[in-house]
Amino acid sequence: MSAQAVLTVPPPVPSPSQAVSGKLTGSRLYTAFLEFLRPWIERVVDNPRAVEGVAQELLSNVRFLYLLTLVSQDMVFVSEDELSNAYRIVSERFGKLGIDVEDSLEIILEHDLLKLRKIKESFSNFASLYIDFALKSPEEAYRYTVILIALMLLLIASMEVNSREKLELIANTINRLADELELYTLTFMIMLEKGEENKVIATVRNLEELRRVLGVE
Amino acid sequence: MNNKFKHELQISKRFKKSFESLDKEMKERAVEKLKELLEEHISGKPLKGEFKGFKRIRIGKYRLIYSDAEPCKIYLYDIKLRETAYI
Repeated sequence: MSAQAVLTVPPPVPSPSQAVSGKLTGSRLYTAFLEFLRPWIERVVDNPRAVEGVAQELLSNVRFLYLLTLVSQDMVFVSEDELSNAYRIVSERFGKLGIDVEDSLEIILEHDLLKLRKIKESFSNFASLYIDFALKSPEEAYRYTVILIALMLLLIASMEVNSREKLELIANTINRLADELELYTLTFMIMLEKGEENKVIATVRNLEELRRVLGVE
Repeated sequence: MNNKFKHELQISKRFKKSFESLDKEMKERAVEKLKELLEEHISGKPLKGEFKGFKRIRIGKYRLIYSDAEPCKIYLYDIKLRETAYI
């Protein structure tokens, strides 16, 4: 059942940054989206570690999927600067309390920028890549969707809490999920890369040979 | 003879190109990490879908991507810098 759910989410699956950026702009679309999400965000604020379960519940909610479709379509109008700015604001919130999530925020931003660039370069190529991934590995595509929605909820939650304790819990969960997200980002990068550079140009069997081939003497 | 690896290390064109773009310090860190990998002190996390055979090891803001799917062989695919305009 979970594997089928991913196919109900239209590509592009929204990036976590979009909702943060949308929250900052305060547009009608995002106000409606965030208003709908309010009870779920409150649950995440109460217990950040339960976020993946909340994301899974949302993926079986028809109204959420409908709103998600609308938000997905807004992706092409978002700029790289807006995404970077959204992360800068989130980062400052954690930074002020000395909580380090820089690496994870960079990982999320790398993912979101890659997706944004590929969508703007050729939506058709991006959509086929994602559909190919979802059809061949449906369980992993579903997990990818859960991670994106969970991170979106956590980032929004982080903007609504002020206690250090809560922000630390949110940061720990962001760190765990961002580590997994990076594996998806790298997978998509490899899917997009040309095969001609993959060929083996040297084989080595000891450290000296390795240093010589790599030019590190 | 003492330095002989248990595995044969295959270097791709992409890996060599990326490696050459690293600064001296990062090159040394990468070689150290490769040594640890070959001595089986560390192992990466697998990528997803069809690329499950590929693994990731972090070296600061870089990611070493390799495959050990074939017995006694390690294929070095790439060493990628985290790409973000945010840094």
